[in-house]
Amino acid sequence: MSSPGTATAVERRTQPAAPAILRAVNLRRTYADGQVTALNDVSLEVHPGEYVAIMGRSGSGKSTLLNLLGALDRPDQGEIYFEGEALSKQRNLDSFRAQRIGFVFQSFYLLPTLTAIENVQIPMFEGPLNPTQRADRARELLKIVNLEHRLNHLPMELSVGERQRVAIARALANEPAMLLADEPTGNLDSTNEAEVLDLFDRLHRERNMTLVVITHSQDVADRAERTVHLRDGRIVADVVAHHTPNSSRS
Amino acid sequence: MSFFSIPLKSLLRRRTRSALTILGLGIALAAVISLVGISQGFERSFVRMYQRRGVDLLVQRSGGGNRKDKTLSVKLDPKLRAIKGVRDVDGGLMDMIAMPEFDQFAIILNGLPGNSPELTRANVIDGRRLEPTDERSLMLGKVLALNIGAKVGDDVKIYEQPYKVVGIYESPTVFENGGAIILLEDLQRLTDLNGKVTGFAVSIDHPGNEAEVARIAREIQALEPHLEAMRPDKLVAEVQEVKAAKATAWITSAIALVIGAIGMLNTMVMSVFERTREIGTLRAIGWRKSRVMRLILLEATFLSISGAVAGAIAAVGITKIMSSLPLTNGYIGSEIAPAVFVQGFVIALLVGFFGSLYPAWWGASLSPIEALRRK
Ligand SMILES: Nc1ncnc2c1ncn2[C@@H]1O[C@H](COP(=O)(O)OP(=O)(O)OP(=O)(O)O)[C@@H](O)[C@H]1O
Ligand SMILES: [Mg+2]
Repeated sequence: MSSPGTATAVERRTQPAAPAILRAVNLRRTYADGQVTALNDVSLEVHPGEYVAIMGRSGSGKSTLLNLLGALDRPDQGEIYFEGEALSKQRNLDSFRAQRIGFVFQSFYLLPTLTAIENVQIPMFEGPLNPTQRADRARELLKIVNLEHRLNHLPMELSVGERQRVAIARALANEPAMLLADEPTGNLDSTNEAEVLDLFDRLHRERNMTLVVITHSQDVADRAERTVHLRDGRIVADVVAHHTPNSSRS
Repeated sequence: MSFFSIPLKSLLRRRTRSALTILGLGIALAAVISLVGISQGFERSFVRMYQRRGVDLLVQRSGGGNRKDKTLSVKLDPKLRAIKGVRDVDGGLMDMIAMPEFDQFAIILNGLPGNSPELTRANVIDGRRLEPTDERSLMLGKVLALNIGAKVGDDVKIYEQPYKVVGIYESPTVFENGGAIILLEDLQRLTDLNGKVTGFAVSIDHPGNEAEVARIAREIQALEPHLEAMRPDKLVAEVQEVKAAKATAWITSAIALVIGAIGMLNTMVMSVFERTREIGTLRAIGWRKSRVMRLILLEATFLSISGAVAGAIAAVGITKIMSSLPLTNGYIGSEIAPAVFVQGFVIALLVGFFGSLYPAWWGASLSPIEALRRK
């Protein structure tokens, strides 16, 4: 990987043997008819079961990158390969997102008129399950996020931390290959943040979930195995943690 | 959870917003249903009046839409009776008068011969029947008597002349209840139409025989060049007043409909705008456009059905109130034909569906990121 013109040295992790689940090559994304270059010549590989944090100042292009990786948006230049297949060749990105990607947002984006268990079922409408199976699976997922006692609560009746855990359960609805989270703890206090991070750890450890998490918080980045730093639309550092401060992993 | 229950829950858990939308649509629809219903009821009431009287053909002056004098001569009476198959002929003069002091502006005043079967058939509920020998007397319809507060024995002014109320009658038709009957000669004198009638009500021996009815109608029309003999239902549909009432009702309801449609459109556009984020969320987690559109359209359909029900109920209420106001109860019936309700429902569903089609398409077509960035 090379970023011509990048002053900062890029520290590369050693390549694991497994093929990348996600490979982004020379991504470029501009806005406002090319006036704003949000992302410039970004290349990145994510391997199955990896836990990657993305950091960088506001406006550095983190969300732009995550949206491209999650097929919410298409790059102006470059290509993204998911499990070896080019996304630009994908006929239906909607169904790709529904089946392969789980999104978690800073503001949760739950449907306010649906209860926890109903919100979790929403992505399943793009899947093969019948209504009973959908409800059963939603119940299971809410159990995984420790919300089995809040099944029939509306988002308004839940704490913000609980809301984010419902959103995570929803992201897992169709057994995605990868979770993408854009500042998932940005609206949470430290107690709730820790709870969400513990949950990510568990998903990563117990289910070998691939996680890409945007964060401003060093606490969050410390949980990840690898941190990608963005500045002005370029990757300026890609650091693999040598030790995990997370006590539960030692 | 089924797909259907998502929009249902969305509506039920946003009660106020849903209620306001339903109210808006309901009001517009109530206006449409009651206006069209009243105008059609007006026509139906006319037809029923003739049917009840056993009138099979109505004879009047043809065509003369602009002709001032639309009357016929009473001399036609024996000629009509001479036609084979004609059982009875009843010539009458009809006039429209106003009693502004009582807020009454469209009172139908019927001038009938003293021996008219129509008179003998009248259901007198107070006082007595009008007799051929009566002078300067009249009978009042029940509703008119109530509206002007007149009792048997009172004097009522007709064309500035005092007329004594000899009886009060009740009829199943609203026009008659809101009208009055005087002797034909009196009305002819008052209106300077001596020897004239507005038309003849003809009853025939075999009204069920279409060919026979058609033959008699032809023979009547052959009597004089300007004559027209029609079935009451056909004639009523031709009556200028009925036509005008229907046209007015349709124009008014078209306006009501346009306002209702714009209200509905506005509501649907607002509800889609308001929920751009939700739509973005659905699209982001992989719902395809068509599913998002189906959700919005389904919600709109539920809203329109509820609005239609609310509108129908309100229309019944409005019509009941209108038909009991002194100003209008002389000529507005209190029932609405089922067909009008059906029309109203179809209109509501169409407006709801097409009114939300564009916002639904717009919302579903936004890129998910665009939708999530809004607001
Ligand atoms: N839709 C858009 N139209 C125009 N400019 C945009 C759009 N989206 C992002 N940008 C610009 O692109 C750049 C990168 O934005 P991006 O949202 O990716 O930053 P970020 O790193 O996620 O920032 P933050 O930490 O504030 O979320 C910024 O300068 C932003 O203003
Ligand atoms: Mg961002």
